[in-house]
Amino acid sequence: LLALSLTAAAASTVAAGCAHEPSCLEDGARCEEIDICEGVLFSCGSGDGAAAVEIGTVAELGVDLDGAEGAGADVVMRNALVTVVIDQLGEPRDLAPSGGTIIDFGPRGGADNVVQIYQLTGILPDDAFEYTRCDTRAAAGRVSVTCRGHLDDRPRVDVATVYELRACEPGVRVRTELLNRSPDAHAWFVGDAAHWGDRNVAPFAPVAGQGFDTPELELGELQDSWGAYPYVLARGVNGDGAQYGFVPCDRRELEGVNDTQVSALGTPRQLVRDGERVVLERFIATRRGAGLAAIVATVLPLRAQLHGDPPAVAITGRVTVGGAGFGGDQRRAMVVVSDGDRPIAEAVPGADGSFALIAPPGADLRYEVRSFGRVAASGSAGAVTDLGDIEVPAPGTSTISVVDDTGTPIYATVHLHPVDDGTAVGAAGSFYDRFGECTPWLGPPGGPSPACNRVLVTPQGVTIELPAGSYLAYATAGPDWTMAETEIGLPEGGSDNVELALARLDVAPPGWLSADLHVHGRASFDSSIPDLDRVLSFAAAGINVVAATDHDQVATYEAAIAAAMIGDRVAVMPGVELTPLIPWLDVQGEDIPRVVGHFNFWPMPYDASLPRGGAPWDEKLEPGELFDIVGPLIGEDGVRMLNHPMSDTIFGRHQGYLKAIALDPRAPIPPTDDGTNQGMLARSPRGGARNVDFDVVEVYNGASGGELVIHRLAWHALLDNGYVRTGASNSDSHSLSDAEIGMSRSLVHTGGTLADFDAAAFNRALKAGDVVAGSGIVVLVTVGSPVGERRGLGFDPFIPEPGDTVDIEVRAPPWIPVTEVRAVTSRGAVVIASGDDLVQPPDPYGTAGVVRWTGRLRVTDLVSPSVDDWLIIEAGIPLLDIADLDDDGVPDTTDNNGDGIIDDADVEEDEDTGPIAVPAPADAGDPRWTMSRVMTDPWPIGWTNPILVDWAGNGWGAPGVGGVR
Amino acid sequence: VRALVAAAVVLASTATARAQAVAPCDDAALLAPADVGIRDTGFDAPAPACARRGVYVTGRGHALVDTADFYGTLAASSWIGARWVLPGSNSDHEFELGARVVDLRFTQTAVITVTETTIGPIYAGVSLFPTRIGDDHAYRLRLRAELDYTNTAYDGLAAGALAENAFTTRISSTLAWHNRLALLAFRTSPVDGPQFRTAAAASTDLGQSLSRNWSLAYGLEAQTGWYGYGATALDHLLARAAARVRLAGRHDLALTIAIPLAGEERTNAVVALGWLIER
Repeated sequence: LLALSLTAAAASTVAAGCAHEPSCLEDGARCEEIDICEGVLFSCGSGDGAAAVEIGTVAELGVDLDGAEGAGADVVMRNALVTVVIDQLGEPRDLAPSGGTIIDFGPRGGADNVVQIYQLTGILPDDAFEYTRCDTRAAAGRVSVTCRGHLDDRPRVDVATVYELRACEPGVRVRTELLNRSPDAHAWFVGDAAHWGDRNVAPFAPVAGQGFDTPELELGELQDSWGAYPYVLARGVNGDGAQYGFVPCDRRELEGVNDTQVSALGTPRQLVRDGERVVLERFIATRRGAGLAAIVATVLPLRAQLHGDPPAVAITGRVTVGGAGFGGDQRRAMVVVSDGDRPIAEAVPGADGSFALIAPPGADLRYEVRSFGRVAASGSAGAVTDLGDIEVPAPGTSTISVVDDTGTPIYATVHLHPVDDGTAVGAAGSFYDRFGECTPWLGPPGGPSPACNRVLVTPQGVTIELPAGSYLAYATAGPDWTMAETEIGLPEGGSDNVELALARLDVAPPGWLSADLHVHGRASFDSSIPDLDRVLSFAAAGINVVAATDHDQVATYEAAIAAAMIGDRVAVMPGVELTPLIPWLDVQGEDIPRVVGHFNFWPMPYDASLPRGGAPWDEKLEPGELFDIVGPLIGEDGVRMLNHPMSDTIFGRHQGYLKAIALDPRAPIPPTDDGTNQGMLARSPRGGARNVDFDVVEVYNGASGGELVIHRLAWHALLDNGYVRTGASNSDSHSLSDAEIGMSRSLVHTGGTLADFDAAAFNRALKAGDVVAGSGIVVLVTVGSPVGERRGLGFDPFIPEPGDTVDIEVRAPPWIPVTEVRAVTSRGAVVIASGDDLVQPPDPYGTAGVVRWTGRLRVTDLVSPSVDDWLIIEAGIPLLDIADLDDDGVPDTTDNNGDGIIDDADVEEDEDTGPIAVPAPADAGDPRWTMSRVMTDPWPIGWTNPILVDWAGNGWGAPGVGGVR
Repeated sequence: VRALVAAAVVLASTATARAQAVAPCDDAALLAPADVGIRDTGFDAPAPACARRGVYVTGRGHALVDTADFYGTLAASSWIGARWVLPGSNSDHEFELGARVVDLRFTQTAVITVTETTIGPIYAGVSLFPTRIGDDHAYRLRLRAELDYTNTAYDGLAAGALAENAFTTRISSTLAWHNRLALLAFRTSPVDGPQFRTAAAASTDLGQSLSRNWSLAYGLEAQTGWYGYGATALDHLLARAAARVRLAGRHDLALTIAIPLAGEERTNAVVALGWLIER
């Protein structure tokens, strides 16, 4: 028996050595023998260049895709139908540590809706493919890029991926191999992660109960979302032209998850043991078109070739209004076809309302037509494939303009809200139940105007279609203007002209520039608002200065500013929001490592020839390291901002650094790195900048207004400990609908105007603390002798003389409520004015009552003379009530069940604490009602930056936590 | 470790007088080392220099929980096999044929769980040069190899093999001391020819009978090479122990545990329950 076994082993070894399979793991001709996706055949059309296929660098060939990021030495492959860009080695991006991934992909001359497609075996840092070498190859009728390497930090796990583009093919053939040469068995799946970005692309899974309604992805519950798919489709949410399809070649199904954040598709989850190899071949197609019809027509024949699927059937129909064809835009009509409860295809009808798509044969065909996001018609056709005419309600048409008090048209934003319950129900819509519901749904919330329930209005006016009904239209041009309201009543097919008039208010005084230092546009992976609409939104909100802070990408908006001809209204400082994604930072008391959160930097040099426009890679770096790396790029006057410092996790990643390190604001921050979590702030990871060496703290973030309380708490804790940083307010807007530009802003006192804007001077004033900020309320303060010299804000210590006073003026547009004024020091907040002390504007839509309160108080009445302290003046309504249920020093839960008590009953299921949620105003009796017509989750507040009171004139000393050194 | 070594020394030093007319391989099954392996297919399990005969059924549990890497594996496996002996002039020749009948393995990372059931491999073993040296010592070279194509966990070829020099010294009538030097090899052929992994192990074990029907075994093993020969040279230093009871009719029941104490090995523990019917 032993002889038998040994003989068998020897024979099999010899056999294995002689007849080994071709592989691409090692360089050589054997890789080229492999016919990836064998059996797939596309025929070439006629015409010049139809059979062309080429490969080169971006520098050589350029990239003809809208929204492409490829630059310099990135590799372009293209034929007559598609363009694909593989990023160069040594340029990590997102979770991919090396380059060698697809960063641009789309139909020639069309849109690139792919953030990135990269290979992985899981979601842990070591599960990413790290390519160490990429080779290009050109042969007759085909070109390819072959990248080889290993798993990140697992050098004994070899990986290789071949991207092959052949002439006349509408996509790339991709083969990935993985060989585990390590002794350990691993639980992996080998596949692609297609990073969609959450607002750009919707995946479509043709399985029961899904279609576009794929389960929301929870990283900790990945198993629950896991599924097997014959193919997976995806399309741009904004109907801007790129669709994608993933088809397995070497197996019948792809397994994985689909979400608007990411699709991860590949092999089944399996144990990959010592010496095991896994291979995956797939075809990734792309087509142009608003709906999925074109990509379905590509994918189904592919499956028939590869897997013998039965021939698809043609389904036709026409969407009509009053018997006339109605379509040409997904706002007007989108059609999804199902076989029973399994969605199988989708189309956006053409301008004549007709649609034609192919779909897998089904005996129980059903259709659903959405018009303005709501289900406008549905039915069952059984086995009949001509659905005939499908009638939907006619929309109304409204032409909207906004003028100032001289009758001159201006830039503004108009928000629509339903007046009655019938409109509220009948006009509520969404993109196939994804990306949130809007009433009315005028377009995808993350897309161009009109988006969700709002529309940008330029001086030329705008005409929109909307579901018939009664609406209140609210116009806003930011806190320096009044708000206007008017009613729109539109029957089906009706039309009207609406003009809303706004008046400029004296809210922001001369010499102060209105700034938003945290905005996102098309360059961000999670934003799809066109650049033109992005910059128009600045003009429509009265923002003077913008820091362009796209995720991991330097952008300038320069072309859009020029195209919109608003260079005299908005100054843009190119910047970046470094957004690490890989959890790696060990924090005491926590099992799972963390990312360090988000930081903004500006001004950044923009270089289109560099990856990410010149932004550095930011993974696995402490803040101090980021500051050291970015410092030379932004220069001495550049700004480093700690964004939303206490924000919780999204997709398992911490958004704020202070939350990531579990800052306890009740405890002192050690002056040196003592090994504690708090001590990390004083750490200088590279011997240069410390982790605490940011210049600005984002205290109000428009995308998470409810977190104001905890960001403010953290900022004050830094001040207590002597880390004096500017507190800013920004929108963090990613679209027209998520965080309204202008409603959370910082006013920086430069003493000049936009016409003489100087970025360096602006940034110096910002870093010096000569700033007031908030959500539309402006608090102006001077300190000094009541009869002599006075000074304003700034971090130069203020040395009071006896009798010195603090003079305060609170301004706000009449539509923003102010019910109290507070003086805040390390010892807490004291209300210094409230109730009848303040002016209450008689009409929220009027011009009267901008100045809400003026007061003069002695410095000694506000700051205890016993110890140096900082002094901030705030105004607004009382802070949102949040309790600290887990007693970690950071409030975490609001009264989410509305019973007046914050307790465990308010906590989200399966969570220990939270969430923090701003209650929506129930009716017009709520002081926030008017403001909430044009702002999501508003919380009225304005604050000054701190005045550092140095009683003895011997240098300002930090008061310590709670005023206790 | 220190406690284990101390206990072994004490037991050895306090052993009763030299065995009287006891051959080194008497009660070989009862005084065998704790015979459990760390590797998934168990081919690295030690054996005494003394031949054993009979049939056995073993169930094994394997646990690996690596919190830092968010990785865990729990496995349950069963073996069945037979050993038979051809008498020799100076010692006996042992042959073995067995199989891992089934392996049920649950693996979890931070986000992925995988459960797999596999069958095989079949393996065969033989002792070579069995020699009795003097009254107290026995030696043999044992080879054991798994058969290709018999392990469904692998699509292609995969087999582990062991060459083991085993020395058994009968210290007393109740105490046997086992030492071994072993070479391990594992070969797969996933692509472009075979891949090999090798390791060398040294171990020392004591088998001690407590009564006619009860015995204990305990030992230490060090291994190198499986995870590399460079900076990661120590695969493991493990401690293992077994408790055996002899039931009526020469049925032995053995509970065995192995715990890696140091080295690259991430396995926390292996526990086996075996039933041997000695013939």
